[in-house]
Amino acid sequence: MTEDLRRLAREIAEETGGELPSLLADDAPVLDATVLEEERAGMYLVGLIGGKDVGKSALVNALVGYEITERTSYGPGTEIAIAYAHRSQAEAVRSLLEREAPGRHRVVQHENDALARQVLVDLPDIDSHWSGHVELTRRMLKHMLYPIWVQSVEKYADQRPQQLLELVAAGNAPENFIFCLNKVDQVHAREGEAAARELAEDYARRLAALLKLPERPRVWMVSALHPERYDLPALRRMLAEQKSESLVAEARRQAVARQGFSLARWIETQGLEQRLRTTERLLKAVEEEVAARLVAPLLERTVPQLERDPAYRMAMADELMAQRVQRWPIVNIVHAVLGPALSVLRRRLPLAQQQGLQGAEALAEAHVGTAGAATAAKVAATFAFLRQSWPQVGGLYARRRLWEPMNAEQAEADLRQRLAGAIEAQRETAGQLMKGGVFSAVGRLLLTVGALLWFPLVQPVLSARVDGVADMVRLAVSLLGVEMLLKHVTFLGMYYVFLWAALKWRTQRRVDKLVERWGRSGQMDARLSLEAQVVAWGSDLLAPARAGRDRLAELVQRVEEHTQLRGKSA
Amino acid sequence: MGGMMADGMDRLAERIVAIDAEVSRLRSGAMALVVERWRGDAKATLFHLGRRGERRAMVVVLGGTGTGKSTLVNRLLGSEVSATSFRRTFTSGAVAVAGDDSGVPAGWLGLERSIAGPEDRPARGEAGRLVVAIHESPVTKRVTLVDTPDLDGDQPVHHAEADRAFRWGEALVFVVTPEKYQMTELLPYYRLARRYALPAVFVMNKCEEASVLEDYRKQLGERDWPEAGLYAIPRDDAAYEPPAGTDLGALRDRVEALSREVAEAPVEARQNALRGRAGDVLGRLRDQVIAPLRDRRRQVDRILESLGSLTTPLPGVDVSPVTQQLQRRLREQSVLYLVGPQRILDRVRQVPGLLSRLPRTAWDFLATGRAPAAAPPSAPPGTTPPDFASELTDQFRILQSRIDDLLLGEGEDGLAGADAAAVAGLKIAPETAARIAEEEIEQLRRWLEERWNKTPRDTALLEKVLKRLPGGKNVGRWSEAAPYLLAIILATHGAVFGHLDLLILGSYSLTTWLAERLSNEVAARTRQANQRIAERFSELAEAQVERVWSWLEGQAPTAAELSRLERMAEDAGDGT
Repeated sequence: MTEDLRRLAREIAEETGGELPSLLADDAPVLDATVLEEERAGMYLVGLIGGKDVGKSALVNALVGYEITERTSYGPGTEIAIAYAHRSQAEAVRSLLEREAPGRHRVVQHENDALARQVLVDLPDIDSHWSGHVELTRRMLKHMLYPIWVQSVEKYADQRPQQLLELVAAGNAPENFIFCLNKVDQVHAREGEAAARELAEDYARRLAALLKLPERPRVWMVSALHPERYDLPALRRMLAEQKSESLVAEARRQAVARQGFSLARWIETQGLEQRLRTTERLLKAVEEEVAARLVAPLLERTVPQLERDPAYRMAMADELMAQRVQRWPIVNIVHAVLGPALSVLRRRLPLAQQQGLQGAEALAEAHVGTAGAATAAKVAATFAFLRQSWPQVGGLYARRRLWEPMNAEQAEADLRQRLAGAIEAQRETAGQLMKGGVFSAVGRLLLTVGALLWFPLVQPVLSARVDGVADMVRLAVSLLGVEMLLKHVTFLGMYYVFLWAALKWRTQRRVDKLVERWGRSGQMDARLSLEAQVVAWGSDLLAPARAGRDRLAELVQRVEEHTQLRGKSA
Repeated sequence: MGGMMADGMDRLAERIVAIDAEVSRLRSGAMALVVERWRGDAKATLFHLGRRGERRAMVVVLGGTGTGKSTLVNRLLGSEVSATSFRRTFTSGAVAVAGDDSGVPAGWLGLERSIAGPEDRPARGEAGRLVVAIHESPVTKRVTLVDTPDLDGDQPVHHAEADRAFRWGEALVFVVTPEKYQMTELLPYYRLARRYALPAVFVMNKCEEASVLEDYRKQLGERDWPEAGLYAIPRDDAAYEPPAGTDLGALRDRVEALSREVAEAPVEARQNALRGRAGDVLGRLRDQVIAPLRDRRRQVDRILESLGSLTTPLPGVDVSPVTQQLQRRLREQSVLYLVGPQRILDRVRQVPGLLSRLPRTAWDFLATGRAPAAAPPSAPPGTTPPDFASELTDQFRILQSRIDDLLLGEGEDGLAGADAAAVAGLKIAPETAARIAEEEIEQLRRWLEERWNKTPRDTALLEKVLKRLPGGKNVGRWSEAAPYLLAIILATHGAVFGHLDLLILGSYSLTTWLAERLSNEVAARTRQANQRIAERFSELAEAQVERVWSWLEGQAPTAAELSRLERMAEDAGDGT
């Protein structure tokens, strides 16, 4: 769970661009995950942490009852980690110390079986100019389940130890700490017992403020010089009993909980929910603005205009006609002759419509990019407005600054492409729908080649045959006459042109019907619907804001899950 | 004291004063705090440069929390002058104890001072001010003692106060205890005291054994203080007796002698120390003020360059839809238009429509017995006048967004530490742009309303001329016939169009067409309105850019100013 929380905190820091919590720094002097997850009831470390010459070693000796470590009152003092451990644990302790403090440790063995799992460690100071000291102590703190925080009446308000304590306490439960105020005898002698008590109170107050504890922690007033006075006998009694396995497990759990708590508190200070709410409001504003300023006018004006544009239907009908006429013999010759004549007529159309006939892309451009209603300008204006009213838009759209002319133009090009794609798809679909004509191949052949044979040849021959042989001869003569030839050619010409016109009319009608169907129905394939394309384009403009909201929402949800989990476990 | 030396120091002081004046004029924007701190340091240096071995030196007592600085001051004075407590981080500001009013030089510490009268004793220091206690004693006859807050407690503001006192001090008393003599916070002050040749006294308070004292002596020896004057004050309950010459009495004598030590320091050493001090201040000016400001200047320059190349967006507003109706209306009354070729062309254009409607018209005529009224010319599509105000606002917002990108961009792009709120304060409300359109359109409308029922200028002029002639009033009504009449006259006159006829018809058409164009006041007014909107908008955009520009300029001094400052600092540095 803490691992999850760590990952979550990292992701949040990345999202907000803020700094990582101190707990997650690489060299943070906080309890290591390996120490916390040790399920086996191994040893646990109790260590003395404190400033230079506050009397750590004297206190250790007083606690143990004999001199395991040298007392100094000047000079570098204790420079190595001195562990007081049971014989059975000596090897494990040694290997740990060798890992963390190679060559700078000493293990004092004892035979007291009652303290088999407890290891008492004396450590160098944390505030002198001997920089190696604090480094060693910081490394050892990663293993210290029960730190004894020792300060003297002189040093309890120093800044450097407090800074370290704040870091350590982020990863360990305050219940596991033992705060000692050493040398109280000095104040007692000079100012009286009340002053000593007041000083301990002052220390506790500062600790509570520093660690943000609801109540002041217990401060053990001790004096290493007077082992029988103040709180030292009680402290000694407490440390003389080794903690039961369940207690140690509980302490570990508490430490884990504290780490979780620290991370959770850090996460709380990130104001994620506030951010999410802001982003949601922002998203709503972006949605509304994009819908009102961009999508709605496109749907209400541009798309109907495009659908009404004769060029739109004409181009589609032209294509279909070309496809269709290929299957009609002779009529295709008529088409080849009359097609260019039609395009001469089309020169009379307004320029925009002539351009629209050139292709789907040109048609879309004629409607989307026309001056005065240029979509790019509108996109830029809309997002500039949003950028001004919501500073966060700048961050969300940092990769796609839609208020800049270049990006706005790209958005317009995208819209053009979408519309052109839909128009192309419509033409393709129309072509496929058109394939199965009413007339079969035989019918088409009869209507075209059949007519060519029937009217000038078959029908006259047949009718002459009915009348008799003399008529046949007369027919043969008249058939080759100019008059007859002109009559047939004129008629057939008219006939085929009529056929062509009928075909064209039917195609046009078909196209009109299709367009009407596409324009009307919402359940159509989105690929074919111009409106669906416009809507999809609009939502694409929203994508960065949506992605930002989704990311935040996911983080908030995960944070909530963690909070619930913590609530349950607590 | 040699006059030459004084001259050298005076010159140095003059230069620093000049530099300080220059620095005070710098536009430092977000770095004002750093600059202020430097000026404080410069003042302290000037104080030292201006001292001429006065009778009483300013002796500053420095040390960690709980080392007994206030207690030591009181013990030296033999009276409870400075407040003490067994609680830590008790003193929070400097307390100067002087023998009389002249004991603390004017402006010392550069802070406001408050006098602690006898009723305020023992005096407790406050952050941000100098508490002065007047107390006569053998010590204060010779020196002014300054008690300071701690250097290592959990109140960072105390450290700053103590540091300030150190910068202004002429002699020092370092107070440590066996617990604290190895702490790191004092190390830089040992080094600086040596560098500035400040007479320093070291006191081991709460001493219990001789070996601690010796260890401290050894440590000081390693840190440039081989023959430090080291004194020991035993802890109340310790049996330790400091060796003769290192006890409180000796310390008092030594502190009293500090003024003499300051005054009688060898000229050479004193000068070197002052040069070192000035050199440090100038070095800090370079590292902490000039270099960061130069970086900032570079950023500002880059942004200014982008800002300069920012093209002012065109308003893209064309008010002609607003004037179209009046244009049509006035045109229909304009004689020049009616008699000109444009009218004929318009008529010709209507022919296909008339023809296409002919069957319908004929049918209607037969059915109802009268010709249908000509359909009123429908407004061409898209003539609802666009919302010019919001168009201008949009354009203006685009400009502002691009400025935002320049200033607040992430990473390398923006101005480091630019405050979004400050940038927001620079913006001209986009509604100002809307107002331009509103005002101009309003004016235009008023003009339109005024013109609505007036005859066009050309017609009015013509009518005035023709008023005297009989039937002159109807000239407007019949004027449309003029070109046709002319053509008919010419045709009947020459039977066939000759060259001359064509020439006459052509020049007639050209003249009327041009005259109509030129006298078209609506078109002119439309053009004028467009132009004015464009002008006012670009003025507004320029004002916005100008505003950002001047703000940016205020964020960092110019490169020239910085170079001059650096040159001054170098010159002053060479002088030392």
